[in-house]
Amino acid sequence: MSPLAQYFPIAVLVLFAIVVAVFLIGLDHFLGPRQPNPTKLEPYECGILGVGTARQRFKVGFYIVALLFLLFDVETVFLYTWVVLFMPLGLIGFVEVALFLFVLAVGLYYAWRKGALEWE
Amino acid sequence: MPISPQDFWCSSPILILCGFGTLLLIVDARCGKGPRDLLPIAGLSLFGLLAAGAAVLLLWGEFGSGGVAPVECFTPMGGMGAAIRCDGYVLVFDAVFLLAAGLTCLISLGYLERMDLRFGEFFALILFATAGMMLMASAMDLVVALLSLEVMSIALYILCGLARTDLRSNESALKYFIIGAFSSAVLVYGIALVYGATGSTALPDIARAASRIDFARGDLLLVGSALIVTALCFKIAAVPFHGWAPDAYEGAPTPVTAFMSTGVKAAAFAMFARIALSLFASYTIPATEVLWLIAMLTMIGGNLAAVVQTNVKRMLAYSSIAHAGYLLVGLVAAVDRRQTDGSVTVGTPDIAFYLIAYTLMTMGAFAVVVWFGRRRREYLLIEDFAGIGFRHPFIAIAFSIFLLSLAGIPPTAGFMAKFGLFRSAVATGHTDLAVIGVLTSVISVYYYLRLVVLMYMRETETGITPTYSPATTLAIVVSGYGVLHLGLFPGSLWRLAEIGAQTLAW
Repeated sequence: MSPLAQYFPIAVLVLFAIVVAVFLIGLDHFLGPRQPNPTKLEPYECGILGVGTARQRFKVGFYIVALLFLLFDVETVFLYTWVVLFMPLGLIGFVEVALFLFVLAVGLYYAWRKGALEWE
Repeated sequence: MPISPQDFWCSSPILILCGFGTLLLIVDARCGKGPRDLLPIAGLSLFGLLAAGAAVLLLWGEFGSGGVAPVECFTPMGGMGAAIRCDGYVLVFDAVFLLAAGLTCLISLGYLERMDLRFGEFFALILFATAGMMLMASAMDLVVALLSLEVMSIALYILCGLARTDLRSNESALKYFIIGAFSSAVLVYGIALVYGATGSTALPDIARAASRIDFARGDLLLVGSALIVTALCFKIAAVPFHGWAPDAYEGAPTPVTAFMSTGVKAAAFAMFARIALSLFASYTIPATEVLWLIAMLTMIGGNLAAVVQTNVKRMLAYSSIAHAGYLLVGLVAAVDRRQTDGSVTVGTPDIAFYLIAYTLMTMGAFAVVVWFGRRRREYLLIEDFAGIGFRHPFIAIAFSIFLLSLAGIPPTAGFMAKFGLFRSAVATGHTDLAVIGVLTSVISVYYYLRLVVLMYMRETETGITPTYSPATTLAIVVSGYGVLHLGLFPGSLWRLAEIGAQTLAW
């Protein structure tokens, strides 16, 4: 097998993706009803306009909420991997995850008490 | 191998600090928003540092004195190397970090209240940063080293920007953050290349693999090592990677500056030494020549730039750059001897001893600067110190002792520390570096003694007055005693540093 031949499945996948995408967009183009209005034509129907000055100001609260969201998002990622190996890791794994959750809880408590969750 | 109770026992100083840091956050959050009384929080953080110090002492009794072999901790499953290691070298550095953190807590107590920076997080962040430093010193894997570096750095970025309404503090935090993130990226790139060349991120494996790669074919290892050395030179603020340091040091709250120039420098050097002695374990890469050049540039550049400063904090920042140059002389000696016969006991004890002495004298000097600082006017110009020798003899004497020690004049700790470094340089055939070191020390005498001359030889009518603070006084007395004790009786501590370096071998 030549070195390039092992990439053949990837080439098939790429081709398949292109065909599916073109097919679905084409289907929508020919069959879908079109009743445009200004709100529908915006890139994002809810949220901030995608066109305009880039130096827009955001309320700093957005960042804190995003950070807190990230915190629990990452927590979920770690918990999933732990669940998969729950039995082999045993008691030590449980204690470590409990410690991890405790530290996160302390962080949440801290943010809460400092008023990071109040929006005004 | 699963995690054993011994792993937790060996990392107990780090765990204690993390635990107390978390506890401090809870205590601080309980007080809610708004200003609070800092004394209980500072007391709790000092108690945490003392507890970690007790753990370090107990561990020293077990692993530091050489009776029991050093322990590799947290070896993951799947044939990877240990994450951290507990040996005498680590414990000596742990003591330096705890000393720096303790003195920082002492000098910051009154300062934070005067500056209206009543944040309980300050002490929690100091503890987290100290835990990160301990991890840096004990890291046996490049990935762990990178992570511990970030633990320390992120805490320090916040500490630099603590004075939120002060533009300079913001500038300091931003510059430190951008350069820190940049150099971490360089470090990661270097780690990736070294991993590609040697097939491992564990330092013992790297040392073994590096000795098998011959220089002509070791280009990947060469580039990777160069990137790692560059990143670490940013962290220790060696010339020509020092541009961020004066601004970051000047803008940060003064106790944070003191902590940055002592604890951070010590941690970066502990890590630098371990990584350099692994990467350059045998003569596959002409490392001593490169380090030689950086050491020379740092000594000359730092000292010459310090001469023209008018701000005490900037002057001490450049002086800290210059001291990084002296420390690099020790590293050159250590790497040279490592490449010659594989031993690690030359240069490394001198680096450890120098960092203890340097921590004491720099903390003392900053404690004096902190003592005069107050809201709206920090009195940081060198001219501001004119005439205080007549009005406040105790402070002036203490300040003079610290400055003379920084200049390396006997009978102070600074002299013995420099003597050790230059002796190792001569012993490994780097007499040229020792000569440059002594000559640049002569330059440094000018800018250190200028302050002493101003304090004693110029009388002024109006002058600054210190605000009495018992904690700062205690810090000054402790560092002053330490500087004189190490200058007159360096033997016992020197012995400890040497024992520590003997257990460094892996």
